[in-house]
Amino acid sequence: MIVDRILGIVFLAVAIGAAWHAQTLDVPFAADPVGPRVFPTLVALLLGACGAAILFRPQKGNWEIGHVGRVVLVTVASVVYPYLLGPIGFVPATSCLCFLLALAFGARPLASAVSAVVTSFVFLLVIDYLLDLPLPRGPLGI
Amino acid sequence: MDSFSSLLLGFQVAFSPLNLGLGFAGVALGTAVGALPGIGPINAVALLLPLCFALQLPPESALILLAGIYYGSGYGGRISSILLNIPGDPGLVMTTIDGYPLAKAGRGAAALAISGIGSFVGGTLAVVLLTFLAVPLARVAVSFGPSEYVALMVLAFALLTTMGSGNAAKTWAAIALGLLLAMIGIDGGSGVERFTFGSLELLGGIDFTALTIGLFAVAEVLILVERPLVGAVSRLGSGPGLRIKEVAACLPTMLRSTGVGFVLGVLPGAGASISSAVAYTLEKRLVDRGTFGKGDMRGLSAPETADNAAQTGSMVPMLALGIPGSGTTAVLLGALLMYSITPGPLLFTQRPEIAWGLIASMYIGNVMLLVLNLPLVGLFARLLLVPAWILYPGILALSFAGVYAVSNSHFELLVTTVIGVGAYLLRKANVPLIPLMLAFVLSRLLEDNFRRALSLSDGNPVILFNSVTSVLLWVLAVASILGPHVLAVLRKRRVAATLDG
Amino acid sequence: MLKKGLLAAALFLAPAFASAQDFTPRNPECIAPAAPGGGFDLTCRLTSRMLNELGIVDPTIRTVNLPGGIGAVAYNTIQAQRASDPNVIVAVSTGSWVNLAQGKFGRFTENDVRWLGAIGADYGVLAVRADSRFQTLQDLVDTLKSDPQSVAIGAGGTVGSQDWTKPALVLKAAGVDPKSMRYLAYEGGGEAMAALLGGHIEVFPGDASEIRGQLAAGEIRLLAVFAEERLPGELADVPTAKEQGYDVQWPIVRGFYVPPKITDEQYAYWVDAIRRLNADPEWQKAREEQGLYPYDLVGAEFDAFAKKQTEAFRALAAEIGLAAQ
Repeated sequence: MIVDRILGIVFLAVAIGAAWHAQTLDVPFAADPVGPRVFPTLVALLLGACGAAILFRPQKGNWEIGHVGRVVLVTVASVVYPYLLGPIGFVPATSCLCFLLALAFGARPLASAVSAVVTSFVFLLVIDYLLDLPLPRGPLGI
Repeated sequence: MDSFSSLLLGFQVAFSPLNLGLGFAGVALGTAVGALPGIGPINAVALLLPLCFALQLPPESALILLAGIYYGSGYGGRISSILLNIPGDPGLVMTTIDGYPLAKAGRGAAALAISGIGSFVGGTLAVVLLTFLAVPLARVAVSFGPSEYVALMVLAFALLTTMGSGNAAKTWAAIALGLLLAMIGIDGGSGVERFTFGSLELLGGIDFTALTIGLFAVAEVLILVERPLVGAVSRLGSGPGLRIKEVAACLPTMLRSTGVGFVLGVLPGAGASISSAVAYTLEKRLVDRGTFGKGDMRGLSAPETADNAAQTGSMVPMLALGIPGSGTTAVLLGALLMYSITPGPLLFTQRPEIAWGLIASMYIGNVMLLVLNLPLVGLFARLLLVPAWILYPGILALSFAGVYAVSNSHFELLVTTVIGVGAYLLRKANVPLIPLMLAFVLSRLLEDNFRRALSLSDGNPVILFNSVTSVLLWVLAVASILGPHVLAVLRKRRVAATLDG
Repeated sequence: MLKKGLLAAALFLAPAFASAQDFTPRNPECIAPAAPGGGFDLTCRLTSRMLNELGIVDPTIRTVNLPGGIGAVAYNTIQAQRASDPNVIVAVSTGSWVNLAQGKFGRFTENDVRWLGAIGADYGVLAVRADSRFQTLQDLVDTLKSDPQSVAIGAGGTVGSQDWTKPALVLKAAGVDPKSMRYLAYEGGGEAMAALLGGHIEVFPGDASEIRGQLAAGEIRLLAVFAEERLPGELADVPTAKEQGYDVQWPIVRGFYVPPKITDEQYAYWVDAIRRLNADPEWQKAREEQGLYPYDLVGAEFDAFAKKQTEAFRALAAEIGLAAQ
C-alpha cells in the first residue's frame, strides 16, 4: 500500500517535471510541424495518469526488506568506484569493488580479497591485453 | 549467374583453409565477447577491424572473420541471460523471460541447448532467404517510409502492452519512463536539447549498453545481495536434459519466429532490436496456455530464433544496397570501405567472391556455432557452480569494466549505477522493467518517424494511412489490442450458450 | 617482415633535419571522441597504425574512445584533466567546429586547444535519385525558390548539423530563407540513403565517401560537389556548386588537435609527425582507399584555418537563428 502510494507520487512528480521541462524548450525555429515538445508532453501526461492510478488504487502487498545494509554497501561501492579508477588504477580499484561486493555476498574476508585480486587481473588481461581496449593504469602501472 | 552457381563459388571461397579457420576463430571469439556483458558485438567488430587490415587479410577473409564475430556474439550473450537473468545486449532481454526460470528449475543446460538450436534454425533459414531474395527484399525494405514505420512501431507498442504481468498502470508507467529516458539528448528534428540539464555528457543521450547493464545487471545484483541465500548455486543439472520431443514442439515457433525476425531485420534501423520482442509476444498470443514466463521452451526459442534471423536479415540491405541495417552492419560496411570496396548494388556482380563468400560463410558459421556450442552447454551451465560471492561481484565488475573501456567516462558508470538503483527500486515496487527497456528502444523510431511523416505532409495526419502496408499494420495493431477482449467476450457467450443449451 | 625491415632502415637513414627529437612521447594515445566503429574511431585507429608502421612515431599509439556529447566530452576532458599532456592527440572534423560554434562544447572555445593538422578531407555532395526531376543544381534551386516546402531534403544529422548546413548554405546563396527548408533528420547517412532510394526524400546532402556504391550502380546522381574545384577520380564528372553559380564549399576536414598547454617543442614533434605522414606514399594510398582526398594543412596554418572556420560557422549560426544557447 504505502509503497504504491509513494511510487504514485514519484511518478506524478516526474511527470509534472517532464511536462514543465517540455514547455520551457526554446525552439529556434519550427523545422517540422510537430516540434520537440509534443512527445515529451504526451508521455508526461501518460506517466501522470499512471502515477495517479497507482496512487489512488494502490496494490496490496508489502515491501520486503532484507539486508538493506548490504544493498547500501554495493551501491556506495559502485558510486565510488568510477572515481577511484583514474587515480589508483584499474586493478586496485576493481579489487576494492570486488572485495566489498564479495563481503556483501557473505564471503570471508581472506577469500574475498583473494578472489577480488584474481578477478581484477583476469579482467585486465582479457580487456586490455586481449581486446586492446585501454584500461586506466594507476601509479603501480596496473 | 544464378544464385546456385554463385553460391557454389561462394562455398569455394569459404571452404579455403584460411577462411574456414578465420570463420571458426570469428564465431569462437564472438561467443566469448558476447558472453562479456557491456562489450557487445559492435565494439568487438570495430576493435578487430584494424587488426584485419594490419594482418593484410584479403577482404573476403576479413569480412568472414568479422561476420563470424557478429553471429557468435548472439550465441555468447545468451549464457548470462539464461543462467543469471542478466542480458548484456538489448536484443537478449526477451531471452531472460523464459530462459531464467528454466535455469532456476535446474534445466540451464537444456535451455542453452534449445536456444542454440533456435539460433541455428533462425540463422540458417534466414541465410537461405538471404541467398535467394536479397535483392528484391532490399527494394521492399527501402519502400518502407515514415508512415509505415509509425504503423509498425504502433503495432510493436500494442504487442508490448500485453507483456506486463498484472497491473496495467505499472506497465504503462514503465513504458512512459522508457520513452522519457530515450528523449534525453539532442532532438534530431529541431537540434534542441531535451532533458540534458546542461550536462554535456547527456547531449548524446543515454547509451543502450549503460541502460541494459543498469536495468538488468546492477539491479539483479542488488536484488540478490539483499537475499544472499537465494544465490544461484546448487541448481545445476537437477532437471532433465533436452528431449527430442521438446525440440519438435518448438519447431513451429522457430519457423514463425524466423519469419518475424528476418522481415524486421531487413528493415533498416528498425528491426534487429525489436524482432525478439515481437516474436515472443506473437508466440505468447498464438500458443501460450499460461506457461510462458514460467520456463516454456517455446518462449525461449522464439526470441533466440528471431534475434539470429534478424541479424542475418540486417545483412540484406547492406549487401544488396550498401545501406547498413544496424549498428554492427554499419561497422561491417566500414570494413568494406577500408578495403576500398564499394558496398552497394554492384557488389554481387563486381566482387562476387566477397558477397557470395560471405553468404556461404554464414551457412558454415551457423553450423560451426552449433557444433562449438552444443557440446559445451554443460560446461557453460557449470558457471552456476561458481559461488555467488565470486560470480556476482565478477559480473558487476566486468560490466563496469566493459562500459568504461569503451566510454572512458566516469559519468557513464555513474549513469549505469543510478539506473541500476532506480531499476532495483522499481522492481521492488513490482514495476516491470522489460517494457521500459523496449519502450526506450522504440521511442526514437516512433517519434522521429511520426515527425518525419507529418513534416512530409505539412501536418496532415492522413499521411499515416497513405499506403496499403501502413493500413495493414494499423489493422494488425488495433486487432492485437482488441483481439483478446473480443475473444474473451466471444468465449463467454459460447460458454453461456452451452449452458443455456 | 622484409617490408618492416626496409622501413626501419629507411628511417635510420632518414636525414636528420626531420626535427630535433628531444621530445619522444611515452605511451601515446589517440582519442576518438566517439564510440568504436564511427568515423573518428577509424581516423584514430588507421592514422595511429600508419604512424607506427611507417616508423614516424616509435612507441605504439593506442586508440582510446571517449564518446559523449558529439565530441564535447573529449574536448572538456582535455581541458580539465590533460591540458598539458604531450602524449595525446584527439581526432577532430569539420562537424566539431560546427558544434563548437553553436556553443555545444560548453564554455570552451576554439582558442582553448592547439590545432595540429589535417590528414585528409571528404567533401559534401548533393545526391538525388537517378530518376529525379532535378538535372542540375539550378533546377533544384529554381524549385526551391518558387516553393521551398515542395522538396523534402533529408540526411543523417540534426537541424544545425553539417548535413543540414550544406543545403542551408545553398538556399542562402540563392536568397531563400534556410529556415523554410523541409528537412528530415535521420539517425545516420545509411538511413537517409535508404529514404532517398525509397523515394521518401528527394535530396540527400551526404558526403562523397558514403555515396560511392550507389553512385557507381547508377541508383543515384549527384547535382553538385561542395568543393573548390572538381574532385579527382570517380567524381570528376560532377560539377562543383561554385561552377553552377552558388559558391558553397563544404570540405569535411579530418585532423587532430592537441592539449593547449604543451610546449612548442612537443607541438613541433606532432606537427612534424603529421607532415611526414601526409608526405608518405603508403599513407596517401591508404587515405585514398578510405575515400579521403588530400588536405595538407598542418601546424600554424591549420590552427588559423580551424579558428577561421569556427568563426564563420558562428556567424552563420547567428544569422540563420541557430544561436548558441
